[in-house]
Amino acid sequence: MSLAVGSMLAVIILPVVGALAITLEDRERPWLLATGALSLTAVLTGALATIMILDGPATYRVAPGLAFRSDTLSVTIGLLDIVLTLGILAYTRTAGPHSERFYVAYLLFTTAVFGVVLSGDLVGTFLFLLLLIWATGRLVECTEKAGVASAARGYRRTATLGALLYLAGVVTAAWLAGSTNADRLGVRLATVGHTDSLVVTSFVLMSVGLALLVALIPLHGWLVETHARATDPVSALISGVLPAAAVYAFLRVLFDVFTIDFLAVNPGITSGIIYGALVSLLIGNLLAYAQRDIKGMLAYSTISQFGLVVAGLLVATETAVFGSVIQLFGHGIVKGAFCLVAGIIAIRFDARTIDEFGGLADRAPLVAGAFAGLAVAMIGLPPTVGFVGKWYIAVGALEQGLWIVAAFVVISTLLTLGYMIPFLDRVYFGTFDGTDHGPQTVTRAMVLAVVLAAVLSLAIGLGSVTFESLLREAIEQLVAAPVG
Amino acid sequence: MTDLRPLVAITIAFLAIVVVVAGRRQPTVRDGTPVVASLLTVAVVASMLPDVLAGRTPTANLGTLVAGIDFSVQADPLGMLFALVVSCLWVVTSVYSIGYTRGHDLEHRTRYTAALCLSIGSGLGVAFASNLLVLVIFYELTTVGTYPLVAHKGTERARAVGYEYVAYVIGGGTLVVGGALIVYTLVGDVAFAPGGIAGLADAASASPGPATVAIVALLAGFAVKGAIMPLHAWLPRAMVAPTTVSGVLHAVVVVKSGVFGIARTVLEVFGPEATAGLGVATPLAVVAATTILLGSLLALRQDDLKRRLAYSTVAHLSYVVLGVALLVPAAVVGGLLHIAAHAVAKLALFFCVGALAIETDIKKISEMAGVGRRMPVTMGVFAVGACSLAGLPLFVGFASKWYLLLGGAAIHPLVPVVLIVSGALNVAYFWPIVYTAFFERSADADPKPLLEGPLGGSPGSEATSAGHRWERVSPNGREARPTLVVPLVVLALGVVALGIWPDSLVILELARAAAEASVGPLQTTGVTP
Repeated sequence: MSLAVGSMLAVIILPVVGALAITLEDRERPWLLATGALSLTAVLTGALATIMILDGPATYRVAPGLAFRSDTLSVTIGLLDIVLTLGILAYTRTAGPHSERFYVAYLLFTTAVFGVVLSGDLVGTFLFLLLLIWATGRLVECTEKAGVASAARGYRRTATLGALLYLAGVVTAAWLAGSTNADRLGVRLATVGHTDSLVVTSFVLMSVGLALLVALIPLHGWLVETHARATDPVSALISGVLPAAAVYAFLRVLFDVFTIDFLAVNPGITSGIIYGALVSLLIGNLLAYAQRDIKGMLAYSTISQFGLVVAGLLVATETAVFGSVIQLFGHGIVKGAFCLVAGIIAIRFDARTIDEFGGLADRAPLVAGAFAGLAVAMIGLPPTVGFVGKWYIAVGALEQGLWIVAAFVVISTLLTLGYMIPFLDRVYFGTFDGTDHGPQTVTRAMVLAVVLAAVLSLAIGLGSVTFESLLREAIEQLVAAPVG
Repeated sequence: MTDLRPLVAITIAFLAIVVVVAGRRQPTVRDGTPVVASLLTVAVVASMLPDVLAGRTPTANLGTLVAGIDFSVQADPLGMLFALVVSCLWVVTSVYSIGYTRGHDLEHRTRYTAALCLSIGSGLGVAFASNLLVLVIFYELTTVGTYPLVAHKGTERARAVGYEYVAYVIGGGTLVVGGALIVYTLVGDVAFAPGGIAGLADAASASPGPATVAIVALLAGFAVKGAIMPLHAWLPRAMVAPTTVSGVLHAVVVVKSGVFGIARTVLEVFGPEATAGLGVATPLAVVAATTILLGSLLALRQDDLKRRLAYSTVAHLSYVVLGVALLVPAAVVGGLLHIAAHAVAKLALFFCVGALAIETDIKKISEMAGVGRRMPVTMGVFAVGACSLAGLPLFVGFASKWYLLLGGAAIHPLVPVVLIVSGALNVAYFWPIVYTAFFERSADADPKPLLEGPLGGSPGSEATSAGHRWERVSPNGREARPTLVVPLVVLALGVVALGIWPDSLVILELARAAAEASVGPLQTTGVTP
């Protein structure tokens, strides 16, 4: 077992160990244990990333149906996962939830995402998706707000349906090809023929199942519901990581199993998904306008952003796929931090809806500054990561002659601007007339986390080329036409 | 040639933001930092002049921004011209700003000062950007910096105008991004090159469709900030902002970055050949000429001083665009020179209006009768600025219009006609102001013929009622605080100096160098029929 495989398994197992420790320990310090476990995981993720950059991809087969595989691309999503879960801990330390239950689910959520991302087998992915769904449901339940139980129940039902659809697709493909290992399946499906109706069926089943988990319109209801009901740190995960994991699974299915050859011979499916994603982008943005509540606005914004990401993937050039990946990563950081900012504001000012945001900048300049910085990144003004992602997607789309995608990508900036500006306007130019519980209600660490995220969004945007060079090889392999 | 100076020039303003925010509890630090920073910036920019005039281009390359495009800033003649204007006027603005904020007791001064620094720094970034994408970055940053300034007062109207401003200019910025995308797709490069990006002319003739979309998107996008009709509506409304801000919007960064972007697009992205080949040059010139005339006419209608100046700006920006669109050397020189000419004069006018409002609370022309006695220096400076914008000889506005006239006459006889008519309109909307200030008293003020009022003017009831708002002070008395008056005088001196010796003050040389690099050598022997 090489170093790479060791760290791969470690990042999956470590949070589980942490979760076990929390249950076995005498309920005193779940936060501390979670932080310890996740810090270690973060270190190992860093190590894994370094190994991937230096030595290239690694695979490890445990048993039929369970194999692991890692490259720089999967590490990227893994990093997003760990950065967010670790960053959010800075928030939950004082703001809660404090329960043991929460931290167990929290750690299992982290593991599940790593599992989805590192799994080299479609069945394995399914199993980790189930764990992810369970953990997310559990996290949503960790608050006393009304309607949480039903929201969590609804989520589990919908998401499990998605996972099952995905499984149905996997079973179909496995029946055709005799394997569920992503790489082998790809080769054998190609011999069956990419226009074969069963092959197409299995693709559609998997795509629809995963689209449910990504929350593309019209399959987005659960995200809005859970996002609004869950406590803010959980919303940060739901917006930032959860759809990203599903998108990653989709990316693997799309490029590893079915390959761009499949997209080329089934233009109807390709353009169908592209248009579906664009509709998501458009409708998500438009629905965000109707939201008075900041969490609702953020939820719809997430939906539109994932429309953008999926459209970029389907453009299927190196440039566009890289754009999607960096957008995925950047969006995760920005949106996660945005949810925390919303939480900070709610804690200190009891402000949830746009009308309550007036004049916050005078009282909490740093939080307001982070809010503004994140908003700029969300809108996608240069040189933040939001701009860079869109730029690459649009360049890729134009290379392929997909004018409509490029146009939508460019215009989405304005659509996002339209619902962000009213918030900024209130924060900076409104007059304050709410309650202020005082700066002591919010810890420095909480503010630091969101300010760092805002800085990070700028740094990633400016350093996009470094990212690109690290991911180039993995993406090249992804979109390369299959050999033979 | 790697040279960090262009980068340093940009960075100083951004560092100033940090100092301003850190020193927010000490008014001296907060208000003094921009003055120091602006002087430093001028020094850095000026230090590059000898190099630029000698034909070198100091360039600082920070590495790749996105695949195929570098994050690099450079000081070429065109960029230097704009950067000199921005940095020199920043000095004046930062001093005046102290007087203005204290005189008006402005709130949120830290935010105001920081946003001003951000606007200026990004303006310098626009000037020194070496390619379209870097330009876009700073162009959008100017918006981020100026939005809080426009909406500064926080009144319902200011906030509504702020929305509108952002919608307009980010809309424009988005169009520019779209245009840059297409240019990048067409030739794989967006770096400015005198005479046009290599290969773009060929690509444009091979696929005129996308190329036309690209150039129209770029021009229209920049035209939003450049307030070219019909995309100008935000500008007069943005007058709700504090007057210093209006001055900055009009003279220093915002609108100038719009016309500067147009100049870059025509001269150094597409190049004169492709611009003419795509059939864009003539419509652009026509739109500019129309804007000049309509803007001047609308200026005539306004009783509100700032709104009159705003429409005047709309008209004057199109001089720049007209010059560039004519694509002959003399006209391009005139147009580029007008960037500087209009900036200095218009900033002086706005600062006069600001001083007037602080000292006497006068905001309308109908209230101005006799105010020249109360504030002779201020109104004197106003007269100088007005003369320059009207294009009278010995003022800088004459120099730029002269070149425009030279170039324009060779292209089409209508161009001189437009210039002369608009010159007359300039006199028509500035003279009543000067006249009423110096030669009338509130008791015997004639109503001024505003186009929006009945013909011949309405009775000056407003004028008489407003007549005694200010105190008469003796000629030796204090006119206004020195932080307001000194910048005014400096600007007036600048207008006159540039008007008398345009050829020995580098601006003309830079304009010539920039124009000649793209459109060929300037004929100095006079007009050839």
